[in-house]
Amino acid sequence: MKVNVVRNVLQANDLVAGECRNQFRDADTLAVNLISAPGSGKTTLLEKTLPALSPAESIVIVGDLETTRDADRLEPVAHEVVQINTGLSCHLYANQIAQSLGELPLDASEFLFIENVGNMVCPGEFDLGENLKVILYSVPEGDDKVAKYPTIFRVADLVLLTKADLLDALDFDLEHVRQDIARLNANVPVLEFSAKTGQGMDEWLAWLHARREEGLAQEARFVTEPLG
Amino acid sequence: MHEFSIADSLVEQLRDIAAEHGLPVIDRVELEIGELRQVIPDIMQLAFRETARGTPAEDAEFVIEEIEARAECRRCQTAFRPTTWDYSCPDCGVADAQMLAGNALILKSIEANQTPQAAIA
Repeated sequence: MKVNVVRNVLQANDLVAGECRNQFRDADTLAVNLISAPGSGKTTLLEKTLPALSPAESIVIVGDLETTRDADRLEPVAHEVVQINTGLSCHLYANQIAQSLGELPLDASEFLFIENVGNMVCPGEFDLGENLKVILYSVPEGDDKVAKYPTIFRVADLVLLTKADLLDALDFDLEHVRQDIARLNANVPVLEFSAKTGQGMDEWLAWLHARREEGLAQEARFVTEPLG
Repeated sequence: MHEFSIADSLVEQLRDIAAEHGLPVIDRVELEIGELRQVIPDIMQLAFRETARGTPAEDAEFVIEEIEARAECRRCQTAFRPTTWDYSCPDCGVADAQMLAGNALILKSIEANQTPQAAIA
């Protein structure tokens, strides 16, 4: 006997992600999934961003294989933080987000930042219900990473080029990187950012506020390809 | 590595389908993977074999069909086949692609040779 199933393999994850997305919409909270390689400055970005967004309240879900170091760093600046230890898993799942939401004051928060596990590949495959994917790409990683890890840049809503104060010191070919990104997605903005000098901070904050005001939190933006 | 997460989700669905149709053994599983999906068929095979151990799909033939990518340019409506590293339109040169196929990850069908038993509740 043959059974024609025609079902998304990640259906279970996507269903939970959809429920999370509904919760973000109902709470009017903008959910931002931060994705990057380890060490590109996700936690530092949040340490600088959260106080600057104040009085708007921000909550954070942070994923790492081990330790609560990131949560410890973010506790002083966030309204609430939940640390997820994934053990051996190289990305967060939607059900981890759903469970964490039970511990977070979503209704009282304007922004939710999800700091994904440091990884340029796997997090791109799992919808967490977020409204936006922001990719951090740090200058010390070298100017060939878009070509090497293209898929994550393809789905980005914004690329933050972090540690931009090192651009000259490391002979980073910014034009080459911009061309690589434009070949994947002409619509994604690339913003030079330095937590150290403050470069790009105003534009980053303005971008976040603009997305919230556009009511992206109200929209289901993740569109899965039709089956078949 | 995420192939193992995907295999987990797949095997979970196969268990449900086996229970629903009363199938003690699943003999064939057919999966469609879009060529732009970051899923490597060989690793997916390995992940499936590991994950399916001790389930009705343990010895199933696992068939992966790769689906060719298709897109339409939002600017000039040209149809084209993007690659992992290049989504720019061959006509106008702009990467503003409406994806039509190539990202699928679909459990298409299963087959069982034995007669179904009474459905397991």
